[in-house]
Amino acid sequence: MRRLILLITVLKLLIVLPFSAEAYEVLILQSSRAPAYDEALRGVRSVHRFSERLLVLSDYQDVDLFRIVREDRPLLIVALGDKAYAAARKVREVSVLVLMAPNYRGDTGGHPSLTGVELYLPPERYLTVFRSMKLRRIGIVGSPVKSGHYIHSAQQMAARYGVEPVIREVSSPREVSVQLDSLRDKVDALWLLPDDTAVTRETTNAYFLFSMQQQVPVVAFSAAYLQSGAAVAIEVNRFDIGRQAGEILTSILEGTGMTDHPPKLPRKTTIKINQTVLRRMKLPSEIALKIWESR
Amino acid sequence: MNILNRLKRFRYSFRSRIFIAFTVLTFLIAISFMAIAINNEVINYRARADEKAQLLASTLANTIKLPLFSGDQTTLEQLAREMLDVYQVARISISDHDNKVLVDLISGHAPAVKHSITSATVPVLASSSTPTVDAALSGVPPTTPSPFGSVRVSIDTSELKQSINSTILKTSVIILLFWLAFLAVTYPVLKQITKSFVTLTHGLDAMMTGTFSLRIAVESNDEAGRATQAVNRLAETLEERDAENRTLQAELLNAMRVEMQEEKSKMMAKMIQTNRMTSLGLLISSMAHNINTPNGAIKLASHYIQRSWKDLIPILEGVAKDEGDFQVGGLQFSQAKQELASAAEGICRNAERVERVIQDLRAYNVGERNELASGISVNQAVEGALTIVRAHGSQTQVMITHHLSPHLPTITGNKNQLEQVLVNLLLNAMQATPDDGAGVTITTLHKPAENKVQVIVTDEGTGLPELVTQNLFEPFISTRVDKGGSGLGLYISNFIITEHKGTISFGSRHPRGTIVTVHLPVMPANAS
Repeated sequence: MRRLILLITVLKLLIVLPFSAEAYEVLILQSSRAPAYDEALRGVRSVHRFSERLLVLSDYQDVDLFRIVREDRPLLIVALGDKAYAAARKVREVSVLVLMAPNYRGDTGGHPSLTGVELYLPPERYLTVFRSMKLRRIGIVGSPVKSGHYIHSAQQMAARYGVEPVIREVSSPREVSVQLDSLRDKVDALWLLPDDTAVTRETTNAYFLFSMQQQVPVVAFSAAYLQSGAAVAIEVNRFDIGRQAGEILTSILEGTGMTDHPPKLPRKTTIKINQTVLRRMKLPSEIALKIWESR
Repeated sequence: MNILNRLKRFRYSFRSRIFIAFTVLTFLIAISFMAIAINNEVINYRARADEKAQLLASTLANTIKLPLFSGDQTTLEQLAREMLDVYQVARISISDHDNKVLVDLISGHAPAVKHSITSATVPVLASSSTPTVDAALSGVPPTTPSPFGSVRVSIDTSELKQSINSTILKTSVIILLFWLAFLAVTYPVLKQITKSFVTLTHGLDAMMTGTFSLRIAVESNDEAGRATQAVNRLAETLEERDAENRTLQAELLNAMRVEMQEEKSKMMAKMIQTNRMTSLGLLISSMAHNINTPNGAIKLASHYIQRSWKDLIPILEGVAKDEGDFQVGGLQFSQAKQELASAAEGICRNAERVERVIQDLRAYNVGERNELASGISVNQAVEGALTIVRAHGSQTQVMITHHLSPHLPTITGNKNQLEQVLVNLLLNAMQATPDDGAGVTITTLHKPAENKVQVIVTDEGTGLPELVTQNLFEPFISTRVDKGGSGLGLYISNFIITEHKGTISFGSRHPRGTIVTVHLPVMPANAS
């Protein structure tokens, strides 16, 4: 008798388990396996507990996302990275929450229910730094298509921070060298924008060569440029971006509409400096503390 | 001729061979080192040229990153010309990502020969440590950048030949000097090392001429020195052996001389014995003739007496009957008539016996009849032999027993020769038998299965020692040479039996006696 009961229980489990495995709330779509995505995802999970399925796109040659969504019926897709953002944007029937995607600039891209957290810090963060470093003329090289709105915002706020932006527009990376040449003796610092037209692997050296020749510091948007010669880097806090996304996710799972959640900018930043460069530029190394105080 | 001999000696000299081997070996080693050094020089030079081209190309690729990316032709040309001034740079070529040549400058010193150029092409890449905007923002590790142009730097390597020639010259001089220095040092060392060996060789040469009294000087305690000591000991031993040999040879010659003398004496004794036997034969012949004549008369007389007595008995019996018994020769007639008849018969029988002995003696002495005849009775031959042996007179105390088979078939042979064999065997047996009452037995047998007749002579002597058994049928070998033995008896006996297709064998029962067996085949006369 006991054996019969045990057999029935096992059969039940075998029947029920597949359904329970497929029934989840959130489909996490990750571009690739990278520590940065894991950090952000930890932030998301730290806010709310939810059932999920993780799908790393780089693990597959081709993913039929439509079929997965149609079969699994998740309540929400969380897209991490540009590839995941581009894939999730095409799935119209499920809400999409985007984070860690440089190409996400707050627009929905025609998706009926898409929001997220941008990777771009508000211009005032940078302006604060320039002010505290007593740098007035700031050279900015950017593409009007990709960074026009951001540059315009910075221009509007600059006067309040005592900063004078000197703007050079480029439509191709090959123009960067020439435009940088035109900034000789006209700027006190360079502002490296997260613009993949103005800042490429090939042109990055031009900024730092200019910085070295003109003895002007480069303020970058990522600490990855510190080793190349940037003096200061203002970075987003990826864990906090995850938390911001987690808060939106929680709210959506609790029933609020997507329209109640407009795109958000990162809340927290981390400032990192290259002391060697600062010393060469004859800028005080305790600038970081001043920047921190002036936040 | 003298020079030729010297050259020959030098060629076959151990020292010169070692020296030549050293010389050739060191020369080959030196040449090998030179080849290795030159090969190494060439490889190093080419590697340095490759490295230099690679290094210059890499340097230029790093320098022209920005002008190449932004298409700044002027700056590219300027940087390329600066590089072209570097020593040995023959040509510089800069291409963009579409392999379109943007700059191609050739030095005025560029060699015309294409083989004298080493080139290196380096892609122009963005720094791999610099991230893209996306990577910098998302924290994803940067990927390997793709090249957006290339730099090709060609190096003039025409100096390689000069470098090789210079290396060959330098190494040749160094190696020649090293070689000469090596040989200059090696020869005296070699001379010193092989000194003991050369001394040994010279000593051996002297010894080869037979001068074993020479002692070679021991120069060192090495292998050659130890070999010299061994050779000296060997020479000493040889010298001793030589002296011993000479002594032994002299002794041997002396012994041989003595032995020959003894042999000569023995031979002379035998010759004397033979001569004596011949004389004895003549004497016997003479005696036989002298005895035979009176014996014939005795025999005739005895027959006459017998016949006369036979005729007289009836007369005398009538007389005795008429007149009574009377005396004849001191005996009563009744006794005398029998005794006289017996005496006459005895005279006749003994005369016949004397006649037979004489006849046998003559036959034995003559012995000239060698023809084989059928119907020869072996038993008769045995009896004949016994008659002779008994007449021999010596060893009369030895008892001879004979067991003759009554059904013995006759054989084909020579009776006289067979008697001679049997006499020899019986005499040998009697001579071997001690004087203590022991006897000799002669037996005849018929072996139907083998179709042979056997004559067995046994004695109760001490038997035959093994050494004697091995040489029984050898001529002139006798254990009784000192007692007049000729050593020919068994030799002749064996010859006779072999002539009769038979065999003679000795079975020693040492020390209890000897058995001699003679096998004679029973065969018809025509078979022989």
